[in-house]
Amino acid sequence: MSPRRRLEQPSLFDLELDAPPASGPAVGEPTPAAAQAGDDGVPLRSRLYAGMVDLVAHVAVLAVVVLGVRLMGVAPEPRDLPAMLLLLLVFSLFFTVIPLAFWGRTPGMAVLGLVARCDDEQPLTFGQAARRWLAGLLTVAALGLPALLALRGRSLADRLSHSTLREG
Amino acid sequence: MREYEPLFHRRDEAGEDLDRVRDLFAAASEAYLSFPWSWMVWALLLPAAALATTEVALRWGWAGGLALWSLTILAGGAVELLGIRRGQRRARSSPLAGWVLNVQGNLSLVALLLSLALIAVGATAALPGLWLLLLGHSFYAQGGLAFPPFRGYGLWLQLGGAVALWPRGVDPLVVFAAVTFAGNLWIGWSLWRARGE
Repeated sequence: MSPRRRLEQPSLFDLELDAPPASGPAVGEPTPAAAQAGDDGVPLRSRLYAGMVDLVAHVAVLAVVVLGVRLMGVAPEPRDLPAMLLLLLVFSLFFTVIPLAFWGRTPGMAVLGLVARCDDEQPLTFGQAARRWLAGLLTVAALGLPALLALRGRSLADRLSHSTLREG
Repeated sequence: MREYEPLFHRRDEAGEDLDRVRDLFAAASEAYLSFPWSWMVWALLLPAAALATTEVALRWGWAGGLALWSLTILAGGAVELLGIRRGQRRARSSPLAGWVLNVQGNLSLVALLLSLALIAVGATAALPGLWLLLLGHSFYAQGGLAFPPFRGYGLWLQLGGAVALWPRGVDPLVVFAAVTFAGNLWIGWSLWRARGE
């Protein structure tokens, strides 16, 4: 038996013969915790902290670009800003869409223990992940004002992508 | 059991294990390898960007080069996403695909740090060779498990990387352009054929 299979399958010592059979929601049915999170929504504070962690990563990339340019012996000028923003856009696309589509969370969401799921509890599709990214861009472009929508339970990203942020 | 039959079929078992792994990798990559056109688009975008880099950098400086490559990756990434969506209307990841991406992300980090180091010592001419070698390694090691032509593609990229790092008489960006043009066309064609089978 491979080590991985050993990890996934309970050994004889993990089984309690007298224990009642595991009961839980059927496949596709939301868990009680998920249903509660969906009803109450993730607190705005958690969403903001997750967004700030992601923002710090973007700022760090910008700092690395500036450092790299300086290492080349060139001082960045204001007219170079559009090129740097373009690079940041590319980084943002990969930094956001791929983790969301593959793991359901951006690094910032992972730090805060949040996960994005479809309204039907399925993992996000690539299209939904891309729409969450677009909503994030719109939120930053509008100086964070769309984030106030989350006070009513669903953020702009939730609404555009037909998905929900949950704790988990 | 016959007299000359070995007691333990180690080689056969290893072969079966590898076949199972290949099947799993092939299944996990199905949604991402169903659209040959994205490879054809990369076959045009990457060489075009590589051949334009020197001219753009001379005219608009480092910022021009940065913008050129950012736009190239953005355009290629958009086509790639479109392909994934067309390949599987509700394309979702699998744990194996996520694991592969995790490993590739780690390799990208290595590539980025080495790139910064090369820039710091003024050896920017080695950047195309470095990226060809690392990309080639990724396709050879992991891509080959999902789609056999990726093994040859990986070796092709690494051969190009070795040539691009040749110290004299070679323009690394021209080598990068030639290698990515031929390699991506070949993979696009291979996918096209595989789809027809």
